[in-house]
Amino acid sequence: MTLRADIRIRRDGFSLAAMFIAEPGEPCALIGPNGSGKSTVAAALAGILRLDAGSVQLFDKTLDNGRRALCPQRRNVGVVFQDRLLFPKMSVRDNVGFGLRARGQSRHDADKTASKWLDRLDLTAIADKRPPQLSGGQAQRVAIARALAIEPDLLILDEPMAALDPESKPAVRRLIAQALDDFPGVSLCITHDPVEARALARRIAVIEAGAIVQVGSSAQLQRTPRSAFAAAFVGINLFQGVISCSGDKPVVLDARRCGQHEDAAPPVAIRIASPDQSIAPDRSEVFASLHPRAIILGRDKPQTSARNAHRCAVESIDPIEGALRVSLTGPITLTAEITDAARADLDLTPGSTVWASFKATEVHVYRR
Amino acid sequence: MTNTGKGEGAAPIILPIIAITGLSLFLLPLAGLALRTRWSTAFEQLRDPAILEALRLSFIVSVTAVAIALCYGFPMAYLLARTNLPFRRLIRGLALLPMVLPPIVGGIALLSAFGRNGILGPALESIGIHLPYTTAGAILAVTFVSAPFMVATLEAGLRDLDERLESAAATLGAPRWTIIRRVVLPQLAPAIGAGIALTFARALGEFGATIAFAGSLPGRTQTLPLAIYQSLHTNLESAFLLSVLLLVVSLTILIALRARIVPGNNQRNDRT
Amino acid sequence: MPARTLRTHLAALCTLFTTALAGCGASSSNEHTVTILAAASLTESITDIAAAYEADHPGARVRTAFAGSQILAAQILEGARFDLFCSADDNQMDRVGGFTNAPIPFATSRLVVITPASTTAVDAAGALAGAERIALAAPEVPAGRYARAALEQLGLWDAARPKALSLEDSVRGVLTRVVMGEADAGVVYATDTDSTHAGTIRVFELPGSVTVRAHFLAATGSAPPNPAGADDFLTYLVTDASAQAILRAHGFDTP
Repeated sequence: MTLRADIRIRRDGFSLAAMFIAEPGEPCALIGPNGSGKSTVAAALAGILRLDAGSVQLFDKTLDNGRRALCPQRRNVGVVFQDRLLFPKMSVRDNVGFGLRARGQSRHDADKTASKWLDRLDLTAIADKRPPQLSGGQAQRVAIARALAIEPDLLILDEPMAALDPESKPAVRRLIAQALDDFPGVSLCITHDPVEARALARRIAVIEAGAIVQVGSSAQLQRTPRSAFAAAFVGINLFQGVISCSGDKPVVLDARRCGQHEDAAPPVAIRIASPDQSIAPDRSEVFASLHPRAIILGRDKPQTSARNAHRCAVESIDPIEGALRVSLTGPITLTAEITDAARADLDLTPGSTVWASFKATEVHVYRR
Repeated sequence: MTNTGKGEGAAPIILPIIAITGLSLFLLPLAGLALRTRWSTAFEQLRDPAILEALRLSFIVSVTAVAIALCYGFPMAYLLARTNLPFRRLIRGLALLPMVLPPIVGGIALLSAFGRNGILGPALESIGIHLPYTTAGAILAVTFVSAPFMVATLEAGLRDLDERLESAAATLGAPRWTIIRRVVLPQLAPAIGAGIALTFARALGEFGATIAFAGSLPGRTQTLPLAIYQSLHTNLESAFLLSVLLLVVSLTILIALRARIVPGNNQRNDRT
Repeated sequence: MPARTLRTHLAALCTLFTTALAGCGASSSNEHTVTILAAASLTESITDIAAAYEADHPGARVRTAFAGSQILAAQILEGARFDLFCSADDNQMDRVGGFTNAPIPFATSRLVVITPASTTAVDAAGALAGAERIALAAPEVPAGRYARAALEQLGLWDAARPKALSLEDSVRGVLTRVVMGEADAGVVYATDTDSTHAGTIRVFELPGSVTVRAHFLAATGSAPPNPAGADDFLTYLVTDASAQAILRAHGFDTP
């Protein structure tokens, strides 16, 4: 039941060429910045958009081969839309049973199956209500039930929690995670929220400017992000550059922050520990990632074993769950993570000057 | 808040003056109509078989015209709003042409097509279909001028809908007709209501095309407006009474439509 | 205020408004224009007489409007301004008695049955009997009254009426239906069947037993915009030799 997708579409000056494989039982997430093509991928898989070239194959069925495409009705793809798109003039029960009745089941049979799903998603109490009367969280659950009721081979969730308020998110997220765990087919969750991706998927594909730039587990992404977006997604500092060596001495790297414009700042030298054998020394293009927590901030120039130290200015301080993210600019652009107490001790405010240091061994270098 | 002059704060006084003057231009004739009608004899007059005949005929012709307009109008509107048919603009123009065509021109055009010496007339007569100067002809004339209102209203209604709902239904496996039946039509109900009202109003008031194509024969083709025209020259009291009757019907339709005619009053579907 | 006064006031208001609009269009004042409302069947003859009148009376302008007599009578009742009214029967002339001076008969005409040129009938009765669709004028139209009277004299009315296509509002409407081929037969005035329709219709005279004649009357308005012109034209119509000649040339009989 593998999904093999090679989606090539050209629309309004936007070019999409996304290739990926998804297996049943392994929920996938597709993440990327706005305009990267996520929704286009979803539409192509659902059959709402046709490919210009390439192919989409679900198990032994060719959904689209660039020349001929199966209409959405015949694909057995369940979609949970970003805007839910529940039928406003039908009750919740009829919405959930819609796909079944559309496929020819009698009202009685469809209602029975619908009731089962309503129960699973805790919707029985509102089964006779209409979509305009539902809250965001309820509507989301109805949309999920409606898609799951047809027992699709492929389930696509397009930003399933984008329209929810923060209070409803955790509960709905748990529900979706549960449903995805039980779901026997291929599932693909499109999102721009890192928490959602981590919670709902085991494999994450990163799409940027119409191409898939990285696929891996959440841990892999965290360890070796390969694009600015991926790095920002997992909250890692990412640099790219070339290694330069001087004999046996520890190597230095001419690095630019990933995603930063070339003219924005001159490259900075990052001292690293010896890279592993797989990376050839001298002028090879590499990524270097650095976790925010590995950065130590201090008022004075540190006299420590950390071989990287730079004098930076605090640009902003943003709270995250349980900590503070400090954005630093200067000879090097960094995001550091400290505690509230540390901030108070250092008396840090936007505009303060601070020394940022980190050990060479904390920099993880890997091939581009 | 002080009125600091033209364009700021309260509207200039000239606007209400223009509005009242213009409105009285429209209201005076209606008031005159109500005042000139001899209400004391109204009920007896209404029992006149000739008048009842005209009422009955108008009703039959208009209702039939609306039914035909619905059957033709929805597929037409769907074609224009939901497909990529080539020459859509041209087709839409042709479909809506009778709306701007002077009705008498429509009647003469119908004669040239279906009249005894028309393009299709002889062929139809040979298989027993007589259209001009028959009730069927009156229905055809009325449908010709009023059906475009149905097409226009339904197309606008379809364009107002969120097409993505139909995509959603497709992904759930619903064939096109099921989507229309269970997703589109229920949402289109207000537009259908408005279309029916507008088409009916136009059908009821149709004069020029009917008199040219179907003629004016009491009991067969003399609908209310044609009856009013004849009584205008013979029995003025009758003309006023029938006019007031039509006026009341028109007002009723207008009231029923008020929610849709004024822009901004449109009730959009809640989307979740 | 009593309904009558209100009605009069409203009528006055509407007339004022209409006249103001009409007056905007009129270039010269009403003193030199003669306004004539005439029955449809008088279209060509009155037009020609008007031209002759203008030639004889330099500076005079004649404006004409032609329609079924009952339509014109209704307009007069509702306040239309006119100098001369020419009706095709006394019924409609009587209706406007309060707005006109004494009417003067000035022409008569026979009635005929017309059919499309392709007919196979040989006489009027045959044409009517063989017709599936007959064009008639409405009962209040002079031509309609005369037609009924004539056909009743022939005993053909009961058979003909059910075959009526449509009840036209003027005799020219009847003519049009037959000319277009929509009707198989129609009853019009003999004077309507002049050369312009020569090829498209056939004319059948009614038998001599039919005594019905159309009587055309003319009357000046009791409050005409152009009193001198009204009297002048009426006199011209009824007495002038060239006017009489024109009428006869179009097929009318003059008293």
